[in-house]
Amino acid sequence: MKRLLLLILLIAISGCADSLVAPQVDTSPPAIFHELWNEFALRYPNFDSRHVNWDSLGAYLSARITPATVDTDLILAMDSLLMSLHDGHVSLTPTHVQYPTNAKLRYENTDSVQEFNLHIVSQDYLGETANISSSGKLIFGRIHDTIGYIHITGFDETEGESLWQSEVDSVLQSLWDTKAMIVDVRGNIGGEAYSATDFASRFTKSSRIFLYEQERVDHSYTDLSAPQPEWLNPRGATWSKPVVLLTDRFCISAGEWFTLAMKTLPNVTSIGDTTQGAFSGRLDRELSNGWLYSMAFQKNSDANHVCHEGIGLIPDIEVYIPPRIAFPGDTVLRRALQFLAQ
Amino acid sequence: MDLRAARITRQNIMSNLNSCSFAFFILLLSGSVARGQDTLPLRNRLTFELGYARLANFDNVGSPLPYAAAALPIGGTYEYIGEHDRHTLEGSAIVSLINAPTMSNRYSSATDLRKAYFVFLDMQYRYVRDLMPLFSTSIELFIGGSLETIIFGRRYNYYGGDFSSIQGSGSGEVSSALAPSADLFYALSQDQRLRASLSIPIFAYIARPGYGLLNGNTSVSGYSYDGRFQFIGSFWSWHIAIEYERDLSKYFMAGLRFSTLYYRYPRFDWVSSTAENEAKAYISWRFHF
Repeated sequence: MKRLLLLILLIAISGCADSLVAPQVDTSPPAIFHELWNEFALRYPNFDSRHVNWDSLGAYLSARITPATVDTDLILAMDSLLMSLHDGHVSLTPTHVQYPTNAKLRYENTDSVQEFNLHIVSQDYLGETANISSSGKLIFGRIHDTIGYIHITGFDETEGESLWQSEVDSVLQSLWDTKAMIVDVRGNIGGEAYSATDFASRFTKSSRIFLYEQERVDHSYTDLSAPQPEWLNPRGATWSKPVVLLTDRFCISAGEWFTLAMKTLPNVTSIGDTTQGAFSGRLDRELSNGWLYSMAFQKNSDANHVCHEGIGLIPDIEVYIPPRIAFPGDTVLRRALQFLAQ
Repeated sequence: MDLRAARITRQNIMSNLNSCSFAFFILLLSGSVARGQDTLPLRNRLTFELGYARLANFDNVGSPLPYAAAALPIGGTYEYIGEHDRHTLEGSAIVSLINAPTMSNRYSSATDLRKAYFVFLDMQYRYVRDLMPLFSTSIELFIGGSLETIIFGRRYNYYGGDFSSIQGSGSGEVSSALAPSADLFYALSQDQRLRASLSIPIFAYIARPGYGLLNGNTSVSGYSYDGRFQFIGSFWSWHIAIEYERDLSKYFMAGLRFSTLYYRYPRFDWVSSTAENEAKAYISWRFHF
């Protein structure tokens, strides 16, 4: 009897707490579509940069959604909505749906080919000098013994600031006697912005603004907060010899922060393809039906207040590889070595 | 896709509360006569509490879904009992992965590992003063006030993973609320007592992350915060407790306590509401400096 009373008490406690905070949740297809549309309408700051009329698109697509719409048709409508943004920080993951097998739908710009292959760089250019840092994020070595090479696959998210700094110090120290440095951010998947800024700070001798951040402040799509400057400050021993920065269309987010910071420096020349054009941080969210999505929430501009969102950072020397052509080796790295040899 | 949440209205919440209050009054008035206020010279009490709780939260910036968890809260109380008044300092803590699992929503399952890590800390200072015997019975009414500070931080991991995973969002609130408080004491016998207490905050300092939405703050991801004083009406909150206590000896007592805490803080397009119901067993040590 006592156990029964205890059980009843526990159930009462549990039920009461849950019901006190439970909101009205509408998971009908029109409500879910509107929820997704409205979250972007409230928070997304780059409609104008990406030339999207969000109201018009929402009205057009929502007309297709009824309470009887099945999940797959709802996914297709939401996919069309988000596809218009072509934003690498935007994604949709319809969990609990068998089709299309819980896949994360992504919306990057995919108008270029990814020629970069780290295996080819290691084998054909770095040879026995090829090395990898403790976090696995930095692959480095020497080309012709006099040129340092560092590839950054992504910027640290988990190790912590001090470990990342000591890792960067260690890699740079091992290449300090070279005459020039190739810093390769092709295929860089982003990561923590502080790690990107910290790495770039090893290449400047003076403090400078390299980026301004803005966010939405009210219901108007174009009303943004005052531009907040991001500073690049020198840290430790700074490298002032020539630097070639290699970029491609798959360099995104913190990779583009790094590129933006490096492009403010006089001894840096960028070579390769235009970057992705997605500078914001990423905001992960979920919908009332349990589906997941992510969005960008910042509008970032360069030191001259020029926004490259949706366009990307155009390199000083462009090497564009059309998708239908596959050259042997690494065309961009070859061009960088030619540039340094001049 | 079939999700049906219970519809909660102000009317049925108030109706439930009124029913509980009425039943408790009936229970009190039907008892025998004795003083509720402890008259022993041992005026200090140290209490250790352990129990079962259900913590539920809805935060529309963190998630459009309510999250909840069962917990085993631990807490402690220091109380000074004067001739006609009481000072009580009370604290309790629930921390996921220490005395609670992570919070989950109705979509969490074995294959869908989304969850919310959290820290819930509740600290309350309470002062009440003996006002009068009620209705010429042995029920004693104490009136006073309380200052209650609650810290509730949540880290949502929508894709599962451990605490270091960044695939989610963070949210939370810190509040310090001033409330008028009322306590009712009733002694069932020389060694058994009942106590009921109610606090309804009227003025609070509420802080939350500066989400940068509709309020001029500049950062969603940064660590700025939006904090301000608010009056009742712009937020709602209450804290109710019912307690049974029995002397074990001159120096020790044991008791059972049921309490419910609720708050709802809306601001701009952000709403966070939290309910914590708990049943605790406690043991107290009476002493004199």
